[in-house]
Amino acid sequence: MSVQVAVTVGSIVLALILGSVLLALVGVNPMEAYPSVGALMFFDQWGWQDLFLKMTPLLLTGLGVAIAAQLNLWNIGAEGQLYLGAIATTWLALEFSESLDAHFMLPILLIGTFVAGGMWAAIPAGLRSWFGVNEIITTLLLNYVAISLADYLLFGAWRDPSTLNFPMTRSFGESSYLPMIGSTTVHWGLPLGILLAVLTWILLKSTTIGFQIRVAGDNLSAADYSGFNTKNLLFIVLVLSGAVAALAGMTEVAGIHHRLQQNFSINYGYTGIIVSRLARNHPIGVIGTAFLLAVIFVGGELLQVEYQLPIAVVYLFEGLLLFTVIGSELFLSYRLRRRVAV
Amino acid sequence: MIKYLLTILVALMLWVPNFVSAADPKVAFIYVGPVGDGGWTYAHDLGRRHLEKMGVETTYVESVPETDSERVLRNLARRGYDIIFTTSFGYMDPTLNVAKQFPDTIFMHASGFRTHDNMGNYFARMYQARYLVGMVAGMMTKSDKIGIIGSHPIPEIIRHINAFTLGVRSVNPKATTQVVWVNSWFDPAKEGAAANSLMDNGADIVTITTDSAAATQTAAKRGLYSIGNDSDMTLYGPEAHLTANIFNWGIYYEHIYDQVKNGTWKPSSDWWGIETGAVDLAPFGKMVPKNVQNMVMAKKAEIASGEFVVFKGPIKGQDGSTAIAAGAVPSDQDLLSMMYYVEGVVGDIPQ
Amino acid sequence: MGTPLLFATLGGVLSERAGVIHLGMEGIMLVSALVTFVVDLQTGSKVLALVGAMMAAGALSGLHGFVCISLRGNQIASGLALALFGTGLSGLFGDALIGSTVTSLDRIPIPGLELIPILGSAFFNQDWMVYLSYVLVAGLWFVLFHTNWGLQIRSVGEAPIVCDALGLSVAKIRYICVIFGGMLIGLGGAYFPMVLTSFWVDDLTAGRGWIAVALVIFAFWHPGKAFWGAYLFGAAIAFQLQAQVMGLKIPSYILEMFPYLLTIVVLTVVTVRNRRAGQTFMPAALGLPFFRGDKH
Repeated sequence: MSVQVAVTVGSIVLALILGSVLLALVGVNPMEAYPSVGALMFFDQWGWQDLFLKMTPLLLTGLGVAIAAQLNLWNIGAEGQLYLGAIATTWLALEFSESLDAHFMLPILLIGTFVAGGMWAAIPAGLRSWFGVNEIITTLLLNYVAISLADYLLFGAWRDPSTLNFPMTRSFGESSYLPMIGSTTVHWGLPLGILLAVLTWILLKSTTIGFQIRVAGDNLSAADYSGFNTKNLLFIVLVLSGAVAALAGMTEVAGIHHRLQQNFSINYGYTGIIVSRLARNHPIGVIGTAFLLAVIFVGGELLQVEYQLPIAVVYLFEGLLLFTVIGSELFLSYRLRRRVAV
Repeated sequence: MIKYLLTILVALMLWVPNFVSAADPKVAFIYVGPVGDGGWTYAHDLGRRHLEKMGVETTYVESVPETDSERVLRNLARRGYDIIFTTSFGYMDPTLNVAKQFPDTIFMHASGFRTHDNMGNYFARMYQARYLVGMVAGMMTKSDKIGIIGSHPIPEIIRHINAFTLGVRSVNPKATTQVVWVNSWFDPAKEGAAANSLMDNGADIVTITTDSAAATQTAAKRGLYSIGNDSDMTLYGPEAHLTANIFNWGIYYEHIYDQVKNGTWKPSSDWWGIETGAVDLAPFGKMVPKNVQNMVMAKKAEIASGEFVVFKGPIKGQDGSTAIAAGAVPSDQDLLSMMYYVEGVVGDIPQ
Repeated sequence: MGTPLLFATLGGVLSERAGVIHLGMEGIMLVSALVTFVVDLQTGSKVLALVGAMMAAGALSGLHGFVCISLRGNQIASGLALALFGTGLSGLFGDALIGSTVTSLDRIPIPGLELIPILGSAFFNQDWMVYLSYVLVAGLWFVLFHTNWGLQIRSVGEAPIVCDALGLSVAKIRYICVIFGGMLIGLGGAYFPMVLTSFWVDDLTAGRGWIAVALVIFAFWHPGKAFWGAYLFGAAIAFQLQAQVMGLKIPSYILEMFPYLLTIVVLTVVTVRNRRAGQTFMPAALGLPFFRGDKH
């Protein structure tokens, strides 16, 4: 464990160093930029709140991707699942939030969104389990479909005349607002995400199905041989993966803006893949890496404000970080292989 | 030791914003797209650079989704920016919320309708310029078919399609405009393909409500004409580009900056027209005959003086029914929420 | 619309035939588009611009190869990193180019062939990069399936351990395929400033690299099917625009989903049919790092 953490920290530092070279190329002094941006994030209560807010959707999409990864499945569709989750939340909130109070509304949103995300993910899951269709391509393509579906609703049935026909829904009733933690701007989506991460970990560690998933993840044919129904297992895992990622859509619309609009996701779904990968798909590790990606996002935003760098620096740093972390896996592979051999 | 360092750092952080003096306001912008979009956001950023050239300290945050804007706005206000321009309709409610929390900061929201003690809104009457470039298209078309490439059907875009079509038919009542939606704010390759589809269907002039120069280049390749949008696109196809309707936000931003600096700023709703220069026409292409240019410039003068109003009844809707009654002039609110086509537009508004 | 997809898909096919998944196409396309634009702007030479684009694309793809082959990192994750990194690079360095333009390639009709009804002008009245793409389809097909090199490439993708035992350098062959594959993807990026949009805007390729990722699988790693896949997808987009021009009353946001849903349906049908016939086309060692000395 400690070696893993050390290697990961080492690769983060390497990514920062490589990033500093690129910053210097566009005329920003990294020795000045890093400390000032760091201070704005970590020595400022608002900085922390921003980090926690940004971390929430990344944690949920990252956890979703990580769940699929337990069976070596690649869920590239977290972005679309997030959109579908937001659509489901919006539908429920528009239908019921004026007539139900929060005690009913919030569980309905949570369960409804979870189910809707699961049903959406059942398309690639079913195609994969029973027809052998590659899930990378179906999940990827369904992202575009989900985004178009949101557009279809926003420019059609859900367009709110009271906002001058701009493509946004009307505001939800207050009963559908996710409550804030204390007097902060951070909503309860974050604890929800952490709870789900812990639950996922427990599910994998200490339940029968978790055991089956772990065996099948190590070796699918061995699991088949042991008499597990691996088709069902693939299906369930991919559906769960989509259901959890969809909750990110719920926390964004019910937690922050309380209405649906275009482009509400800043690639949270795609970033979830990085979150999961950096944590080596460990459900608890995802909590840490979601925070790390939030740091990159908020840091990139501050670099913009302070140095007028384009938003592209965020992608640049995400890419560099992912490269160094994957590259460093070689140093762990001997250790990992020894563990597998034991 | 660490505690000391922390204290020093915290102190440093608190110290920076206080450095601002009231005499020289600092200006921040938030943009809905990347500055690199070459269109809507780029036009606002040219305005920001105009302020920079005057020696004003400015900054911006680009690609801020509307849902994330409240957080970004609070941060900018907290960092001591005195004037914050928010440049998308969707920023309206977030801007109002943050304006209430930061009464000493001045917020200016583009394209909306809310005001507060420290919040105003502004827009430019681009539709006036759209009408004028429509006249150019109406006089230059031979096939009497003009193609329009739509981005997403929001009221602003519909209003511009209508103004353009009114302009076309004011000089050429036989002509029609046909709209193809690419359903994207931004996809130059698809805009090029849409231009081709329209021209295959007989359009000999295309214009865009998107931002890119793809349609101009496609027209140039096919030896046909185009009309640009938001910025002068002559460069991309001098032999095709008839003219364009353009923004000059710098004029307006300088005006607001001066007001704040002099302490004369008051919350208001500014909708600047062609008379201010905030919207204008790009230079005409060489192929636009002098008499056409003269007619358009004469109409421009009429609009500037208020003698001619673009949206003034009688105006018929797409199906021939009365959309605006004879003599009536719709309120700005009605214009801001316009969601129907006028007579002469072919196609449907996606629902 | 189909041509850049075709180039990128061919590059993906080459790389993946040798066993290295290539998810980073969007990043490579954006950077090569940027390089094409810059070199063309500076020198005015299309050939130099193309060479520059291919070199940049090859270098980026080589980085992917280094992480996947030498460092044995996860290929999908590395591809994703490349996509992000390339998007970031093009955004960071592209802003300065807004407002400049280059000329685009002219169409060169092929005498005789262009007169074939309907398809003639669509396929044979094009710019030279399109013709190059036809040559590459045929060339890649020939190399992969009718030469000794192709056999080696496919073997490395199917059974690297056997190849290693036979004395082939798995790493060398994979590096070559990843770098050349990257160059082909780079041609796809270059096609944007060369033909489609001879100006620079942020995110010029608008996600085409991701479509190409899907098309590689859709084409079952075959250059010929890549050709049809890329043009089918291009045609689906053209149909969506044409349907509006013709006044079909289908909501355009529903039409927007059409190419993606079509791809999923066709992929499913073909996958099921292949499985019935007992065929799998996926290179057996795709995505697996090769550990020299592993003898299972």
